[in-house]
Amino acid sequence: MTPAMWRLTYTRCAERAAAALVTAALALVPAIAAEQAPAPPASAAPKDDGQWTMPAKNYAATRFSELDQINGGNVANLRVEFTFSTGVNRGQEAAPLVVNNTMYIVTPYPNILFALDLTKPGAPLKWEYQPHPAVASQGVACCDVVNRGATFWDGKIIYNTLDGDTIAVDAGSGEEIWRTKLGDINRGETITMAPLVVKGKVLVGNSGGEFGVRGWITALDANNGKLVWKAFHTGPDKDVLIGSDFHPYYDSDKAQDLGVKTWPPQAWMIGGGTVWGWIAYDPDLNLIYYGTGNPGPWNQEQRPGDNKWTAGIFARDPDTGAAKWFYQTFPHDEHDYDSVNEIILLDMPVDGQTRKVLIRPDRDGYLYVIDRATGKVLSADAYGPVNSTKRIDLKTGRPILNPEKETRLGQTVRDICPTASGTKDWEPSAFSPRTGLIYIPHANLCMDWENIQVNYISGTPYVGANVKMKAGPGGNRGVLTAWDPVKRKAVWEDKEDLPVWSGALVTAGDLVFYGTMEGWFKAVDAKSGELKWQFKTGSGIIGQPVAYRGPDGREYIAILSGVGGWAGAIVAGDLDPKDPTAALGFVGAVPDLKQKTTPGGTLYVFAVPPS
Amino acid sequence: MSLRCRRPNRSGTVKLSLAAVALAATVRAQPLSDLPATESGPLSVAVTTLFPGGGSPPPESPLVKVYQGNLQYISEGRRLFTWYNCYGCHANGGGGMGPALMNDQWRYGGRLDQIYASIAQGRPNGMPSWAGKLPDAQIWEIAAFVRSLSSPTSPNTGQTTPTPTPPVGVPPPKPEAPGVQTTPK
Repeated sequence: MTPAMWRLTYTRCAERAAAALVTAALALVPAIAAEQAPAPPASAAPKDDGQWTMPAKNYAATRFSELDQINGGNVANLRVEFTFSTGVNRGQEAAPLVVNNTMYIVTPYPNILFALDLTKPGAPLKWEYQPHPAVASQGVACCDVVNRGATFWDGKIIYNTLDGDTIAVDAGSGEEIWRTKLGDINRGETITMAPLVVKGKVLVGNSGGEFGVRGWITALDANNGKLVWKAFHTGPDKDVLIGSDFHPYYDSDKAQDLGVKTWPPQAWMIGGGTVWGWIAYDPDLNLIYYGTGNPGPWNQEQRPGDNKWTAGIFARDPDTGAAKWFYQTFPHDEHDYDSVNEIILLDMPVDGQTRKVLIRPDRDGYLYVIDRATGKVLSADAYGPVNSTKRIDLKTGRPILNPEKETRLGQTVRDICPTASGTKDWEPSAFSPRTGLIYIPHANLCMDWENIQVNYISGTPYVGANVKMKAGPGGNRGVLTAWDPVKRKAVWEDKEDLPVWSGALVTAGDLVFYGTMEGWFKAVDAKSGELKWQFKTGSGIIGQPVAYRGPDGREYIAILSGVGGWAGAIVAGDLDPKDPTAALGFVGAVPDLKQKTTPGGTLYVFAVPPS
Repeated sequence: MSLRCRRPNRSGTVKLSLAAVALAATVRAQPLSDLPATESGPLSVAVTTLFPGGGSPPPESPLVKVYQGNLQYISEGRRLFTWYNCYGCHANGGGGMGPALMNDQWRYGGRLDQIYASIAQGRPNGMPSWAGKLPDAQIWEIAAFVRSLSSPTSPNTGQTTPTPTPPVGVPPPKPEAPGVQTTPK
């Protein structure tokens, strides 16, 4: 044990002892209960300062606000304080940021950045920044022209454009500080994810898993935008930044150059493994965690093999990019089960022992609890209907496939659950240390799938499947599930007619906020799921709610309304409901959406009036 | 027979897919000006219906009459629509990354030679330019198929808005191990 580790362990022990002492003194609950409550590591979830500086709130990605002014007792009085039209009527997936009494909003393409002055009545526009991304980039964005938000770092707002640039803008003046070109739309590359800044490095990954791109994550110097490191997710170990520090838990990941050997010759060059989702960071272990997207093409028969390192989770050193471990949620994915969903960092009891874990509610329908130091899967439980696999084998880490739902060329395999879009897609969950529950916004959909032969032509879709989605068992297409990660079961579920495509926010007022694709913005009781308040916004909601403390000391809740994304493409892109295969099959599940909402792009900010 | 005239076949293997990369690379090198004059497209079609001071759209290309409604060309166009990944953006006419093609709404004109021009030239919001990459005749065939998706004779027209596909009624199979398969209660 190094001195540093000893200090760490000692500090932890001291903290735990203190906590136990306090609890014992209060004599309300047994000391063991205090120790067992799941909580994010303090280093990754510092005390709430009332701002919202990154989409996931903190490095542990809890999306938990410590503000409690708005609670079950007064939420009925919640009312609109101000609104702002973005002027862009496409899917609004971004989280508003609040820093130094200024709110920052990123729109979908054309990726305008707005700064609103929260100190003045009505929050007037301070400035706007227009990056003018390439118009043609709209044609290579798989699932609407969305952007998942910006992040704040050292006086800069940093975000990505659809055509593949990362940009840093002066948070005070709106002036561009640096701009780095990372993606090439003529190879089908776009960028839709929200970057994360760790130790002065901007972490960015590409989109384009439906275009045969080669997936990567890169780190840029936050001060000047210069490349620090870049890791690919297919190809030889040196490109993947796999070296002597790489210690995956499962044997199937322990051989040289698997990013080449688990593919047909050269197929890894166009094999996907993009990074369009979320990144978490544990400062204690100094590891970043993120997932890789689906292998390409969707037609699995064109790429026999495990297709490393697609559809899995990487842990890397943020300083060098060196891979530490990898776990493949879906070797040789057959159903477009990207592994890019959010990762929540918690310390919690597993089999009576406190473990440092990461929580991943995955596309494939399982909620994974993984030891974040080693990559070992501790549990994997279905949180929605699953029949594409029978279970996750915890010895090998591999899913046991259901042979009846394997996809075939020229054959339509019916009623596969979940869909290509997964039990949940990008829409991020929230965790409350007060209830110990994870609030998972998700879908309940199944699909018919037919493989078709596809040719690779750069800059065009590389898919190879006819997919038609439909409602899952019960007919409700969406759910908000409150999940107990310790007891490994759902505590309550709020069913929705349409897929829940918005993120979740939970507050210390014990309220969970989320939106529906009809446009309802809702607050439900974090303990029971009971609906406490709702407001109908102008368009369907697929955004990320946030909470902040305004300059007047009051708590505010903000959400962007504007339907779109993969689920809302039928409305945002004016698609034809007569074709259930439209929008890569999602139109089959929501052919009625045009009767329920229209396009929009408006910020809504709510508060309880001062008493 | 030059490579640009080779007809794609249907036998599907990975090897074929990689061969298609080479095919795409090769056809890219084929300049449009080398194509026979009779196959040259009407790249000067109007994409607007406004003509200041009066006037009318340029006359229809004589090739429209050759391709429009011809079932053989439409059938070939349907196959090429899949072969060149058009379906990846436009699905089976309902659209996705690209607009719907079956609703008879045409941003850049729905006359067959206008559709031809949209495919050959590309369009600014993300439609790639296929001129010089595909043989001219194939672009006409794809255009004929696209036109047919909303023509009066198309089986796709005249339908009312469909109701959603019924939900999957059969509950998922029983779990093999406790708590790993169905939705926990």
